[in-house]
Amino acid sequence: MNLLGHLPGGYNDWRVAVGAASHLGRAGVALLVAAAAVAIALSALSLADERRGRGVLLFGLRVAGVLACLMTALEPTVELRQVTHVPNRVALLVDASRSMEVRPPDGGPSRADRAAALIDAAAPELAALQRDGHDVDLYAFADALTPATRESLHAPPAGDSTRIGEALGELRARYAGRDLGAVLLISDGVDTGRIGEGPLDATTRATIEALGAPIHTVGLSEKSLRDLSIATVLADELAFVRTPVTIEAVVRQNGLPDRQVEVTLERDGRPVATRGVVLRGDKSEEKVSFDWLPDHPGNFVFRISTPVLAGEALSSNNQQSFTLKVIRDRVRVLHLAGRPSWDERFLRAMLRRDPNVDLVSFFILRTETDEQPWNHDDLSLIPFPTFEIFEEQLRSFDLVIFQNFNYAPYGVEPFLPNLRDYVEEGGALAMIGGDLSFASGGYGLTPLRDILPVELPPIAPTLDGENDPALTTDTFKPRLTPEGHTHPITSLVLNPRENEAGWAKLPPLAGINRVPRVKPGAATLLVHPSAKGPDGKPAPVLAAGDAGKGRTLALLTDSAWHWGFLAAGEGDDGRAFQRFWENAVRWLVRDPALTLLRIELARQEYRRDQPITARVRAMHADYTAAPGVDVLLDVNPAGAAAGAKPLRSLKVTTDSDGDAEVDAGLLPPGAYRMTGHATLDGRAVAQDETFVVRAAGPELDDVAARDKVLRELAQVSGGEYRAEKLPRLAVRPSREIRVGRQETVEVWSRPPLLVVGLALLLIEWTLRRRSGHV
Amino acid sequence: MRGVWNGRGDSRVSRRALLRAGAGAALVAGWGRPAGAIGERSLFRFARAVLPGLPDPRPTALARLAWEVVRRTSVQTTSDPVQLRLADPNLFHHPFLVLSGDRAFALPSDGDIARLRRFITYGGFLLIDSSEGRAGGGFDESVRRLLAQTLPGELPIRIPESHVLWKSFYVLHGAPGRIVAAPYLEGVERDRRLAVVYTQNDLGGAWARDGFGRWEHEVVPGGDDQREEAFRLGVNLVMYALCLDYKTEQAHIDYILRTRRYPR
Repeated sequence: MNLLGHLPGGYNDWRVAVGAASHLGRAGVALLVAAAAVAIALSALSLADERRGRGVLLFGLRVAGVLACLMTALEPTVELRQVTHVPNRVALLVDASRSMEVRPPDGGPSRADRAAALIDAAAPELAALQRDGHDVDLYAFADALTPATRESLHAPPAGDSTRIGEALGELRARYAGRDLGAVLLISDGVDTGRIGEGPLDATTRATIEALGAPIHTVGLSEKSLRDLSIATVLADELAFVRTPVTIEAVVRQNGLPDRQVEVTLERDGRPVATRGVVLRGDKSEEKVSFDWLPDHPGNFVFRISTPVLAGEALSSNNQQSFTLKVIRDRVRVLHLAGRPSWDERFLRAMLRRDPNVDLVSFFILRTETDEQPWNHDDLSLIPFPTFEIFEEQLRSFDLVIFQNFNYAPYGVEPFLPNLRDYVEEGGALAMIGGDLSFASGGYGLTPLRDILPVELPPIAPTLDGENDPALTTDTFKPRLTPEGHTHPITSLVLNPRENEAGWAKLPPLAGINRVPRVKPGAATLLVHPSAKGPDGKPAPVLAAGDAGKGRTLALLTDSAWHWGFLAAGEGDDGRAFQRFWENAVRWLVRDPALTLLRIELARQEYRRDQPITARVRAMHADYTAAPGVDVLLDVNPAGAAAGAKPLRSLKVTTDSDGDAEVDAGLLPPGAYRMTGHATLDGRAVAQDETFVVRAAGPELDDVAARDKVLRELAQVSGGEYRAEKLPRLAVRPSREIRVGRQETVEVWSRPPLLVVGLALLLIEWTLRRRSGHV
Repeated sequence: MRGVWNGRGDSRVSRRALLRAGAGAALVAGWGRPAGAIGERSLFRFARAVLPGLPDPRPTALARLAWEVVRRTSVQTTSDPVQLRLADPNLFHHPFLVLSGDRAFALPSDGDIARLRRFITYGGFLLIDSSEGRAGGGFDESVRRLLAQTLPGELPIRIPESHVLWKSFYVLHGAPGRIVAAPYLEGVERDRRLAVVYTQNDLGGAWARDGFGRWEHEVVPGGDDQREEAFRLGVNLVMYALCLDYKTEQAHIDYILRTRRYPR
């Protein structure tokens, strides 16, 4: 009990106790009280017809006397106490999940902003509560309960789920053994945990009962909601080149009826397709689908998005990213030959024999100046399908081979820029020598000069040039360069010494196409043993290089078939030609088996709370493990421009097994590319992989606010529900009192009281006798 | 020039024909030197297998065929065939080998046979042309014995009508030479490639032309038309040796190009 004033001695509480209770028990006390009551009642009865004044006096004396004796008998004491109230706590829970980002259609403050404003506005009331001895604790909750401050509530909400029941459970655990006076819960009611859409489950009810405090709830909602979202994306993670892929997405809308929106599919940051979707009714879902035919392998990052319309509740759910890995099943090769020759014949035989090669060939069997029969049907020839090859179907090929092929007579020249683009976008081109190739074919005047690994002078094609200075006719044995020693193309056998010996044993070649030089940055693999270019360097016979994302090869002779058939004639197994071309094709199409640096991500899709881990593997050119190799890894957002500063940079070194573990830490949701660089066997190698970090869970699936659960919570716990404003925060009184000092004052032990009591009774008795009562 | 032997009686005296004639003359005049490829080694050149006791029955035939190949196709050739023994180290420079004769001959040595076997196995092409004038004579017997030794267990079989050889350049319906001793061609296939072709119809006899531009032999019974067919077969043989089954692929490609539709 509190007094308005202060008690002496610093005590702030008093209590009356009945001392006799300890001797006589409650029954005894009751008996005494009953006896006193009887004594008073008897007096009242016997005085019923007594004169008023005297009756009252006599009655009063009886009462006083009995009470005095009773007091003495009861031994009342007064306990003076110094009491401290353990503050009874009040918990404020504010929903910090991502559904609280929602804004009303007029663009006003989001739910999270409004919640923070409510807490700010309640500051005076909360201060008053604190003064009254209630401690106020502020929490944010989403998938878990975390302490918060008024400032932290202003940060954008980031929780991936809303679990009200679980949060209350955590609250109960935190306050176990302590006194919770009230709970205030501010939320939009979109629960993605146990409770869901309600009604409350048994576990939550039990928790509420155990908490024993009223839960006041505040619901935040909007009168109407407008939201357009990409709800789900259905796509495979893996696809094959030249096999169509279907990507589907579900577009969901709330409050945006009767309009058409465009859904855009982007690949690696560039838009590739759009679809129109008609939205009908106030709330609907539409499925949209995109078809894509991958034309080369790789790791692709896609994004499906819709524009953000005015007044949309949430803008972050208007897009979703995902990755798709495209791999090759067979290598598709286009083999063009300007005329039939033994060089062409043996290359064709090799390509036809390879089960991994899908071959399409076009050979010029007849030129315009050749004889024609009278009846054209006698010929089994077709016109050269320039448009089909170089425009329509070009990108379906992994490799294009120009074998002594002249572009000029067949209307191919206008398509050469397309061929250059095809290579730079990831295709491959091999040019094989002869009188119609390289400079003699006039390729120095075409866009192919930009991508070939050798420089070509800008001269016109020589027409059957007998004295073509660009052609030589001598027989020679080409020499393997230092680069050629380790390059995958010229590795006929794995052992480098045996490889060198193998090359030296091969039959000589006959004649080369002369070029000014190999381009800087391209690899020179075989050179003429004596002839020199204008720069003094040995004349190249085989060169290879990168062109944009693609690769090109220049084989500057038309006698490479000697490495097969002629070698066989000399008793060799004749496999060098086949092996050379197998290597060349694999290198040109970037066969993954040739990759010396591999990044294996732990997963293709990470959750927001999962660190990005991967394993890096490095190998030597002969596929043995490469230990002690430094690998530099960069992580960039998937659509980032080349050369942009990476988000993360790490360096790892491979162990004795050639492996290293990578942990790039946590990343916010989005699509990313991890690129690794290393130097292996003196060559720079790079490899990249893509991955996506997801904001997990169904939090943003349906963001329309729900008050049902909040109302039920309040009702079941004895709290109050209000929409958009704070209810009166009724707090259960503190249960706990801690007693400090205490002092007992015994009232009954004052002798005067007994004397007075007895005296009174004596007077009464005397008066009664005087007036005739006994 | 064109009208000389073309039996269809076509006498195109147009400017185009004159130009062609001029070009043809230039080609003939310039014959004997490499026509622009990288060295002579890059040109197509017939090789005739020289076996003891088997003289060349038609010495001018292959040169004339080479000239026809140049005229009609994009293939570049040198005129004179090279005469090689089987043991010659240069044998493998010439993957098109011709064995022609008109009489029985002795089996070559084992070493030579092994070399021939190797030649065929690793991609060489062998054309066997009988000038004996009839089927089943001494040359035929020797040939079959040679093939049995060189490619044991692989007997020559008739080349079916559907084989790509019949459409490797021209569309052909028969295989006549100077005569029609047997209305078919025989061949041996290795790894789905026709490696040996054997005719008893004296193709060389139809091709042979003397230095004065006169055909050396009459073609019976078809005359000039039949001679043209013989040249066409020669061209097809060269095309087949150089392009293998290219023309089968072509048929598929036509179909695919016409009907292919990729979703984009």
